[in-house]
Amino acid sequence: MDASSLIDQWRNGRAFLSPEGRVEFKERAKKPLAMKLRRAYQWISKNAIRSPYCDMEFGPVMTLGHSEIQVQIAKEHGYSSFLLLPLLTLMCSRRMVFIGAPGRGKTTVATLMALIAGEKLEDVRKGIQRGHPQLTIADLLGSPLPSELIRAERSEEVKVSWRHWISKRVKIIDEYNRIPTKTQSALLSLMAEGIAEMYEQVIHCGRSAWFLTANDDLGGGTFQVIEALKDRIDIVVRCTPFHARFLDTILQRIEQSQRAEDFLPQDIIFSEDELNEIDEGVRSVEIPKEIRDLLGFCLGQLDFCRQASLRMEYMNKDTLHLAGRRVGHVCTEDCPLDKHENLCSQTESGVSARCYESLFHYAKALAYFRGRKEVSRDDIRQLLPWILHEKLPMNPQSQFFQKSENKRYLTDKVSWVQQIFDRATQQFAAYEPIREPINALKKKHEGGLDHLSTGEIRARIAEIEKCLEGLLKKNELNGPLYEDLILLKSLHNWTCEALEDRSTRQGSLWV
Amino acid sequence: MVAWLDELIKTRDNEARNCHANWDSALFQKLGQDLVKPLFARLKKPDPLTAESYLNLVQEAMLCGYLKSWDRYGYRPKTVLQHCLMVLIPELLPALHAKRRGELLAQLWNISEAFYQEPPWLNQYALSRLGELKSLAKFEGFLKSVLEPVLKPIEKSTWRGPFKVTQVNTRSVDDEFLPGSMRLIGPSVLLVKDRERKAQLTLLLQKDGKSQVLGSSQASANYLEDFDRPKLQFSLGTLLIENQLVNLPQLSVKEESIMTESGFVVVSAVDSQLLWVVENP
Repeated sequence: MDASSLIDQWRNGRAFLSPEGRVEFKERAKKPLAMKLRRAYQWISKNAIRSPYCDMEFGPVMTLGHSEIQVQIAKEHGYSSFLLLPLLTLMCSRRMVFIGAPGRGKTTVATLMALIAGEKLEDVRKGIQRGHPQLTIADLLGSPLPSELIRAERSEEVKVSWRHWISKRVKIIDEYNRIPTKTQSALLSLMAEGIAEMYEQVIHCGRSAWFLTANDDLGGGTFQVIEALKDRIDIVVRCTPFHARFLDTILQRIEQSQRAEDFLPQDIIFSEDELNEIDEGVRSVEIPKEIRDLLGFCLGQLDFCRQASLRMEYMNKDTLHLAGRRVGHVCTEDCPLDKHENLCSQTESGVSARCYESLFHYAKALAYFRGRKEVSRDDIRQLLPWILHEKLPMNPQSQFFQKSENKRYLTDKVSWVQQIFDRATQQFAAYEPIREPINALKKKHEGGLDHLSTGEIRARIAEIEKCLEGLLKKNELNGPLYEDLILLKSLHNWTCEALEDRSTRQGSLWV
Repeated sequence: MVAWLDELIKTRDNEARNCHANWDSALFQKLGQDLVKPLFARLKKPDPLTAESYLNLVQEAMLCGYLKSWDRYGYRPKTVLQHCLMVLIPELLPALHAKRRGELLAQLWNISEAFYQEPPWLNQYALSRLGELKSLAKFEGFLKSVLEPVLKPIEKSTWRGPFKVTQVNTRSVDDEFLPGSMRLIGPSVLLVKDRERKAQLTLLLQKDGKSQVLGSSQASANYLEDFDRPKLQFSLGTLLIENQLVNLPQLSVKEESIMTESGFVVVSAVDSQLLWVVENP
């Protein structure tokens, strides 16, 4: 295009002259929602919660210092887990718990999430459910008006006045470990199924992000949290300590008598439609096969216990637990596996399907937040400790933890889980040649069996058996191998089933 | 006298702070004090609409991320839009008739914002020419005339000759300039660095001996060309291009040379402020 036409085209820009003669602007082009999310993160980190460090790091890492004291510096931009994980929870409408001592900003962050989701500050404050030993189901969910109770002749005629917080997009339960056990059960159905029931009436809470807070063990919960409720919580985040360099900020807040919640900028508030668009965007982020394989390799082997049974299928930690035993009882010299090399020794249990689901969803949200189209290994590495924080118990009696350099993992769960993932990554690469024939069989199986002749199916069965035998002869039975053996047995079973099916159909033709 | 302007700056600042997470209040205040207020003071008759329009431009530039820091851009604008806001408007707007100011400010914004969508070299080339503009009323026409030669589609050279040589003296724009390394920032715009000082200027390559030095530049873009380059051989005062001898009068020892797809070879010497522009017509 020649210069004259180009400039004529440029003249039709956003700036225009208003009837009063003032230069004004048409709306700016809409920027991706991921950018808005990052802006929200930045605003919170600069104006509301001053986190002293960015513990979620990405990209290549440089290690400085010596063996005693080491500092790792990542090449890419990092984030504070205390601020980022709540945002991810809002993005994917899941459930998280903040743990930490009082006064660390747990409720403030939860409140900010509600404000970012478009709630008014006054409503957010009213909607916060505060756990205390006298909290009843009626306090939590609502109750019928006394006049309704008197008038009603049947229970379905009782009109329950549900509490407003139930239908909010962001739900905040402060100090949930102070809620009595019976009330916790009512909370469970709301969190797990998204419904509450009373007098045969049901209310649906809709898509919502849950933020629960709990003081740490030293702060003390009044009631033991029921396991089922704990299990419904997708992710845990730990509060960060205060750093003295932020004393000026505290002083400024006192002098200006203003809190961050009071002046949240409009351009980091998300509408319902935007949150739904983010939800769709998050779900469309891809998790590459190599990442899924690595994760399966890492977490799949944790459930294995060679001492649990003689039969391969039952060589898992559930078998032990059902028998009232713990990993520490059998993970001794009787087990020939090297306790430092084999990851199964470090954990008391494996990882549930619910955990995988949470991890995948959060990983997609993290990749979306970072403006990526697919999940990376770094995303998984950074999220795994927070997803497994309360879900993956350690086996503190493992020989692994007896080594002086590993003892500190007993107190630092985040580093412990990351260490498991890093070791698994190394093992994954080393184990690749062993997996080749298994992957080849898996790929063949994915191609289906319908196009094969009966003879070819028989040959496939023989091939699987040969592969199984080869694996057992050349390798010791450990977590990674166990996973592959289970897979091969399943392939064998499906192929045999296909053969039987084929024979039955041919037989019926003869009849 | 300008209490209302102070109030307006303050109000705008408060509004923006409530609306925008990345709002830099200190920068806005500084721009208000250092740019908008002095401009208002220079207008012969009070013109609140112009002052407010200019403030709108500054605010919008900040919101779009075009102005992020005074230290970074305040004294050395890197884009046409920054140059317009920081240099051209404060210097040239007061000379315009009050009735035309609003319309020209809108036009200035629209044209200069469009540069952000174009390849960086175009912005940098235009930026290097804006110093020649003497009236805001001529902004559009001026840009058309300076962009015309660089937007013409280039014709690939056959390198068959005959070759024409022109000497361009860098001294015409910078007394102490010593031509050093060179690189293209656009198909016909060359960036020449001073080999001793932190200075650089641009050279517009034009056929028929019309190439000209364009003054100092902050350009940093790099325009890469991929073509079959003919073999060059330099010796004292001569250049051999694909076995064709070209005389380079007064050239002693070559310092640097660069070749373009459109058929130019530009040569600098170790002991001269001249540039030899060889063109294949």
